[in-house]
Amino acid sequence: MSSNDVAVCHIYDKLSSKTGFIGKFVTNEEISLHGFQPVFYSTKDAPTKYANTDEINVIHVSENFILDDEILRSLVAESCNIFYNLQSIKTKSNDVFLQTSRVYRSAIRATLNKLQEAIIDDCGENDIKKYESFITIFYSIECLWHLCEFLLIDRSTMSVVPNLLEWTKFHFPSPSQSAAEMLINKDRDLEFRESYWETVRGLILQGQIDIVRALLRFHSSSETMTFQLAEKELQTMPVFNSHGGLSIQKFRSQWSFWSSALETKLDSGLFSTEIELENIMKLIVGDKQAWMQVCQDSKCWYEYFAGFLFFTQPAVRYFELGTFADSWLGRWSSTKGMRGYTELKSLDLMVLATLKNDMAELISSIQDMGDNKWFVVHIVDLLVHCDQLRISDESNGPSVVALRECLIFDYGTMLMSHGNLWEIGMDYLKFSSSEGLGAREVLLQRVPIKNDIQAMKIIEIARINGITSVEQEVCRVMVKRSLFLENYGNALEWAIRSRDNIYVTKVANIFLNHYCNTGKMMHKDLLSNIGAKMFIAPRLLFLIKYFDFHQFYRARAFSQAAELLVNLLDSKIIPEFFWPSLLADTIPLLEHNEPIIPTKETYIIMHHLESDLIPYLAKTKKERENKKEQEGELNLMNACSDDLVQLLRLACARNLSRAMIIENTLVR
Amino acid sequence: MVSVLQTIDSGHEDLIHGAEIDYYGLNLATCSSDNSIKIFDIKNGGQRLKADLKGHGGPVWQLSWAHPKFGNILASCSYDRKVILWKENNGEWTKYYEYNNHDSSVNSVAFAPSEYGLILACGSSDGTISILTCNTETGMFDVKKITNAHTIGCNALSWCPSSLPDAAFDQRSKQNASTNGTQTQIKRFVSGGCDNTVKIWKEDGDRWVEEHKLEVHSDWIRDVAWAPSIGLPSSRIASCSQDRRVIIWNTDDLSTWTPTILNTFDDVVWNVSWSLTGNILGVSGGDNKISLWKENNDGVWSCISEDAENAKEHQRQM
Repeated sequence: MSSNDVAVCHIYDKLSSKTGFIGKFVTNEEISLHGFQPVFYSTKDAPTKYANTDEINVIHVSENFILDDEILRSLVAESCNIFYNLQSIKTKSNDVFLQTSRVYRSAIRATLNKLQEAIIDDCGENDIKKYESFITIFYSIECLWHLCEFLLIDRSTMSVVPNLLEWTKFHFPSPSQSAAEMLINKDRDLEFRESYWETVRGLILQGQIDIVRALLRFHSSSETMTFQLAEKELQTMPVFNSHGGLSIQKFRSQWSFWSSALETKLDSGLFSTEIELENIMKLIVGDKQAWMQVCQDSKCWYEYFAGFLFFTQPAVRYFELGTFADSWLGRWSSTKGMRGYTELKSLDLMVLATLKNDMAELISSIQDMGDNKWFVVHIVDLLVHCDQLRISDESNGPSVVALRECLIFDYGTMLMSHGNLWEIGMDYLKFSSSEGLGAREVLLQRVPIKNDIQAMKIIEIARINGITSVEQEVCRVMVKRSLFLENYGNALEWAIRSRDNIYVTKVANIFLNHYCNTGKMMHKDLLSNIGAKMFIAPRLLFLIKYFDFHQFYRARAFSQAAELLVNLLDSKIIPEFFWPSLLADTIPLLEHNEPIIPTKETYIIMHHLESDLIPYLAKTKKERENKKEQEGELNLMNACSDDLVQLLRLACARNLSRAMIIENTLVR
Repeated sequence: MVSVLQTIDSGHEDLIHGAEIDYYGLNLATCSSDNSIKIFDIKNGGQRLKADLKGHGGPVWQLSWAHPKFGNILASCSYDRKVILWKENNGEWTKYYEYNNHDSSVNSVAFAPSEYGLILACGSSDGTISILTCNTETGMFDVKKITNAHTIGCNALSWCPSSLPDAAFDQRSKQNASTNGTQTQIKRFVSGGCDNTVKIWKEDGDRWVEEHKLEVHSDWIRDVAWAPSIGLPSSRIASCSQDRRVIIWNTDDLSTWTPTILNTFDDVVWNVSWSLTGNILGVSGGDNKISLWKENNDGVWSCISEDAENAKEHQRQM
């Protein structure tokens, strides 16, 4: 996995440079640092010598995270879809893997185009710099992915050279572009353009023989003997095609026959009148001197490698590529005056590793590409799926699987630890090891909840993934947050969702207290829609029933109201502080024109008046005296407690007498 | 590539001893030798001072945030022997509870996993550990004390995650436990002290008892950290000491603990911390480096990265 060398990050802080510092993890990705001096038993209890000198900073460091950029975010989302589809495919066929690889590649290409456009449209210098660095990163990825695609993923073609030529053409497009331009304009005097021979040579080096022939035909001396001869040679040149039915042996003898004939012609000076043409023919027969010459003009080592193979080893197989790549590289670097591989760029080395099928080297180096491991995760996953990943010896089968899981785990947890991409991270962790499933639970709880919608989303995703514990925790947090914002309706809804007795009771108490203090019910529409959920907590049940009582009363259904009220009084779920309020509600019913409450119920009211209300009032009075009304919380009913008791007793007595008369009359 | 994400000027007048981020990473609290605690809103890379809490009469050593389901609550401990719980109400931070029952400096505070309720453990130089349990219904606190937990003093505490050792996938039992309001899970925490030992404590009925005493370190323990659980049956603790060593203690059954010496460093190690998923250990010490350690698939620990604070002016390189 990671190499032996350790990444080091230097940070400067004036104070810490004097005191020393400590740091620790604060989130999954972030480390917090600050200046620090240890305290010992001998440390003096006095301000330190650093007091009031330098700024005392807390520094947060984390790995650079580029994937939350607007453009890259869409790549992350798209690649997640592709990844997800790949995990769920049923038929494991070469076509599916090749298709998947191409979809990945087109996603990279689309991203590169978007980045290019952003640079053209944009504006800010910082953005341009950033996007340019992204282009460098993702261009390298595209280049390597393409290479892996035809070397490793696509097992249908035996010969690699045509694909290598395609790949070279794609990544060094300038000869094709200028040839196309020349052919469209169809000038007769093409050769007077400076770039004419350069283009022809470029095309030859990419094995585009047909276009070379077309270009040669536009040359003003194309009718001469030399040009005619060249045309004939190019026309008859044997081209290897693995589907052509020709065996490799047969092709090789055909090729050597043709090329030695061409060589004889070159030696006899048939092309000497046209130096440029002669040069090209020399390249075709693999003339050492001619190839040395072109190497000097090349930008990087693999630019003409495919072309060289095309003319010298057209039927080469993948397992032989490494040897040829090494010998070509040796030759190339000798013309550049370089010693060995020391001055090669990292992309050059990664291309070499791929050609040599040195997967350990490739995977280790693509982890440091600065793409937050986007590439390594997806390519390793794909290669493991199509069983093409071999790291060193064969016995390493299981470790490749472990490597894949480990990479997916790291990538998934990283996405989950960065604000907006947590949902995508969840999808990846689903396909990681069992630790990945555990990590989802830990990290999902830590996704900062910005608003109700996001809270709902977290709950929904938790449910889909069967992480039930998260729902209740999120609901509890939302209760606290809604209470903090004094949004009590919301708080009640979240509390009910949490199904936590303590939280529901707490919020229901707020509703009841508010009623006691103001005489008004909050959020009536919400209370009337709670339905069967009221049974979650006794306090909620009381709140809803009490609310129903109000509804009856308002609808002038006095007898139902009275019945409910008496039931409530006897229900044993009344919060203590609500006694004054609840009993006060009986007064208008007791004093109603026509008696509503019969004797038996009146006795009940009287019983609660004496055994509950009066002790409660005595208790609160005592408390208030103790606290001398510091609290300031004024229960309207408590304030006029003595009057209330008087009124109640009177109302009960009056109602009792009226009810007794009526009841006794009726019986007779 | 690692780089600086944010630099927060704490505005304290003297060295800070602790900087803690809340559950969702939106607020930062710092505590200092200037006896004060500051709370900053650090959302979206900003820095806004929300509160400057004064209530301690000595340097404040450590802070711990409670889970947001209990509201915004912060615990602090100080040289003045006090532990204070602070709570935010209507945007105002006020003292919510004060605990005065230690005879010496209180060095460490740590809230228990939220599944257990609002529980705080406090370790003190008087050698005792207090466990404060808040009844969230009534707001009353119940106090239990472990006397003589570490001779000369307790320096650090860390709670065992609530879902150990087998519970991460056993949703039914977990759900039952939380709906019934009772926890079947045994509560545990680890402490480290000046007696060079690491001790594991567990709740047994209404008492706290010493379950294990781990003796390998040869000098004061400075920090202990119980690794977060991500569903694996095994569990591990990291401890660091003035003997310059970091030890990882592993167990599969919570009954036998096997020590592995992670590394012997060039200087005293002050602090160990796990990433949230528990796969990376951060170590920092007197050598002014933070090194990150990761276990590979073969169970071998290796250093993957290092942050070195460098004295040279404006040197910021990758």
